[in-house]
Amino acid sequence: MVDVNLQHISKSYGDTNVIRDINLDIRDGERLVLLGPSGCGKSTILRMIAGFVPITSGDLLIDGSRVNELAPAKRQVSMVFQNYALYPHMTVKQNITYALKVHKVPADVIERRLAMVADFLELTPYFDRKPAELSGGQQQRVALARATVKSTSVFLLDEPLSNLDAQLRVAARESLMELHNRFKQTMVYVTHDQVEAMTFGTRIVLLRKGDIQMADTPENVYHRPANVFTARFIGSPPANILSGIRFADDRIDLGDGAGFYLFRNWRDLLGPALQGELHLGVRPEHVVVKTEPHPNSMPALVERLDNMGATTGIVLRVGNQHLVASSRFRRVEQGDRVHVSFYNDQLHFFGPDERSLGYPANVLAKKDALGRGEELARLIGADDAAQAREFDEYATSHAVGSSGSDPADRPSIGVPD
Amino acid sequence: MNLYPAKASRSWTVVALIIAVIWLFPILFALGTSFRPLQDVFANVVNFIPIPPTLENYAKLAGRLDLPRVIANTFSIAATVTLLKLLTAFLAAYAFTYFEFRGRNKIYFVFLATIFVPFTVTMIPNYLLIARIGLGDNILGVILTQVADASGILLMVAAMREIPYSLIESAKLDDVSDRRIMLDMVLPLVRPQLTATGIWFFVNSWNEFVWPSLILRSEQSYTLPLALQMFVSAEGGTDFAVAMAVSVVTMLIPVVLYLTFQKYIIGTFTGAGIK
Repeated sequence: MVDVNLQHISKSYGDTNVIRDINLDIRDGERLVLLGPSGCGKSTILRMIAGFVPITSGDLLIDGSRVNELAPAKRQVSMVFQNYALYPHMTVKQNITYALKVHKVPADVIERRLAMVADFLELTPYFDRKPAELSGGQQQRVALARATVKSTSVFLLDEPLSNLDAQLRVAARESLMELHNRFKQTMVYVTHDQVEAMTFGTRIVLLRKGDIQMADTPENVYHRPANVFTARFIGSPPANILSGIRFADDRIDLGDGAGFYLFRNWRDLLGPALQGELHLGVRPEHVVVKTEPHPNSMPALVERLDNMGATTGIVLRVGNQHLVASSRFRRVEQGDRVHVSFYNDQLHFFGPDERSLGYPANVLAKKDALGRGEELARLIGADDAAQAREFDEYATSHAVGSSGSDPADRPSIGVPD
Repeated sequence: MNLYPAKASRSWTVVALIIAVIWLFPILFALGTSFRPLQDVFANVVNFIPIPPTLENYAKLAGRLDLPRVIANTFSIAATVTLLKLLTAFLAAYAFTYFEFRGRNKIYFVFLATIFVPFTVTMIPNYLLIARIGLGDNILGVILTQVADASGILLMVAAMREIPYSLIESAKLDDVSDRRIMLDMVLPLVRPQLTATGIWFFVNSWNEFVWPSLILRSEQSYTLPLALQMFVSAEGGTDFAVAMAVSVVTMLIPVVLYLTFQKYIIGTFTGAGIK
């Protein structure tokens, strides 16, 4: 059972700090993904854990003991390299067993471990081939086999799928997951691909310029981003971040007279923050686009349509802001005048420092209930009625269109369809 | 896509052929002349086609020279020099490529700078040194000053830099010692470049004239190039035909080596950006 702890880890080259005071506890058996754009320091962190990059300050603990000065060989970690680093002059079998042979592991033990790993990764038919005679996916599996056969508990993976084409990538990811289910290693996985991170990780650490932006489960990274950077980085297309918005008279003003009523739960939460500078985040899938005005909607202009296969990206101008909505149906055309609203539960507010301002209690309850269908439905049902009443009151007092009696015409809350 | 139209490519072929003929001419001349009697050679120098061919020059050569001994001398010097240079070049290149130590780049630069020191600069000090330690007229004296060669280090460093570093890292992570990395990883992976460099060293040493001529004085320690000189300025005039026979014997091994390994040789020297 092996934990890896990074305590106040920094790395600088001369005056350039590439990693700044990172604290991270990697728990035994978890699949931790280090995610971030190029130059964020994710590979540096991985290579510091492996021991290839000296640590400038801070403590690195593997299995409870400090290993800063320990040679890579003594750290009991395995690594899968981006280019797989297979020995080109050795056969598949020699590649997998080389390290064991060097350490004079008894032949019968080698054979047993080899059989188990190769069988699992379906490599047995290729034992006598050289790496150059294998496909990319097979090479990747040999690299996995070579790392697994050592039976170390910490597995470091440096962009292991990035040299594979899209179709192979899915299969390779699956074999990686199966490997983890079978051998339960602690995996640290570096990638710049957010989809890979979301699908593979049990926890994602999002990095930017050597700082941790957020370290949390894929669900939380997606549904409650800690800051603007996280909201923008995760999701495809990325979340809309509307900056320079103002709040007045219970409404969020998007300029040019466009705006929407902000429900009480948000106003109570945000309080005085509403008087300052705000950033509003809305994911494209949480923007409702209709051809008719609907409760709490704003007029908008369709500027462009982006076909993304399963969905269509609708690029809109609302007030003086641009935003993208994604829709499964292409109901509008370029140049159409439409009406948009946001799901009230799916708003993200960020303060002037671009940090999240949090979520109202009932929204958090729903976010927590995600994936637990029944409870979520109950929570939504209760909120639905209350918010319809709230909007009716507001509409009456401000003489705007009410939500009417049609339940389908209620303001958009909850989870998208 | 063909960037060169057929016509242009044909005229380049003609140019290449002409250059090849110019370069081959001395070799063919030596080869042809070595099979002609001396009187014929003096009668008509230019027409070097031996009709009918004769082996009398080779017979004369065998009579005047202990040919097996001379070849053995040449070979043992060339082979030893080559092995020593390769050994030192490989070890030094490994250190320069994979070890981090203070002043690494500066030391490497100083090593490389020695490539540009002309042989004539070091010739006299080396000669005095070899004479002092009593290795004059000994093939060991020829070998001793040639145990390392910076151009070999340069070529080996270039070869090792082509090995993806992650291979070495992967081995280090597996707790493989430097000795094993050297023998199991680096050596097999640089074998083509090592072979080519070795042939280059071997041929250079095989053909070497000035340095052995300073050290080796007695006939039984002669190498082929020194033996050749015996016939060029021999008392009683130069016997061109026999001299050509010695030339042919001298170039036989280098040509065979080159033809056998030319694929490696071209790859190595174009790869390292030399010549």
